[in-house]
Amino acid sequence: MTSSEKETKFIQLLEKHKHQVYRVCWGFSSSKADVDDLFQEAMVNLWKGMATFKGKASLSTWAYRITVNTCILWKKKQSKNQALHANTEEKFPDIAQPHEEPPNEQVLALKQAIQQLKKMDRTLILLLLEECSYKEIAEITGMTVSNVGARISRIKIKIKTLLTI
Amino acid sequence: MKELEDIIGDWKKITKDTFIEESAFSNQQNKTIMESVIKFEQFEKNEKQKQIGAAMFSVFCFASFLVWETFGEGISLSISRLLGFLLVAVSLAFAIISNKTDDFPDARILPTLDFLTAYKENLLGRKKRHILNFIIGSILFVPGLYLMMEGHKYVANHWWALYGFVACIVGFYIWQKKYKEQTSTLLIDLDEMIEEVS
Repeated sequence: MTSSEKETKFIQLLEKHKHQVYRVCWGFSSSKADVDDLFQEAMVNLWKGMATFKGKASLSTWAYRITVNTCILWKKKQSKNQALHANTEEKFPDIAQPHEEPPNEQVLALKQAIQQLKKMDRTLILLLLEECSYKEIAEITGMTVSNVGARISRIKIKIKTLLTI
Repeated sequence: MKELEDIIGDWKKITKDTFIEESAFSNQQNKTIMESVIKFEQFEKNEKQKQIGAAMFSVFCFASFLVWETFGEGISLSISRLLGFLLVAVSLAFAIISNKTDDFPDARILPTLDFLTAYKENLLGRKKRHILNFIIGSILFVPGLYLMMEGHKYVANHWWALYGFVACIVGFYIWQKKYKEQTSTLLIDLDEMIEEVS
């Protein structure tokens, strides 16, 4: 893939999927700074992975895979970020849209409940909230479809319990 | 409390392009994200170049030391000194190459279960590679340095080589211990996640 092809493909990816990527990162993070940090790392990994995208999976499956794999092993790397921002002039732009409403209370309560789940459960529920089918979730995670279904049923019950506490 | 499926609509409002007039903002945002990503990648490349530069500078320093010994101090440039320099240079080259292969190939494109399994194997293999690299590096570097500096008036006796070697072993042991502490937590996390996904 040439450099300009890579850039074009990356822009296409951003156009279609940056908000999905951002929401998954948001689900894994507890603060705005963490979301930005995690989103940046996910974007860098997506960029690095562009050369390896062969088109076997759909672009969204591929993007979700990289994002999820970035999120589950992400740890705060404040010293690394400080070094980077000392050397680069811009941070990532605020991904929020100019006319965006703040998330409502139920969404925030849901997010808090999700934060209490184990990482893999969090992954499954976040992908479900992105309206991924069980088949797509299985492709992204490497689980079987039946396993995905069974786990999601359990996770929904758990979330309901957490939300009613 | 709404059902989960009913909240999906609200959830997806967290960020969403809904207005045509925002497309210009979105395009500019995409361009800025991409430029920041490219800058970050360039920053990482520069850091690696610095490491290689530092290693080459070290080789240059040792070569300069050899020249100074020969022409400044009048110590004869024997085969053993040249061999010593060669061993030191090879050990530094080995350090650069083995450091590069320690980079975990980017397997994030794999499904999560495969990615976690590969990551765990790489982490376990890394410890063995560190030990092997240390042994090979020591076998090359310490004798090389010894040969380069043998008979030098500032290091007349031979005990400095032994002290240096013992110091390297102690330093490596302490570093490995700290590294193990950091990775053991990660390994536990990985095992848990692999079990959940399997």
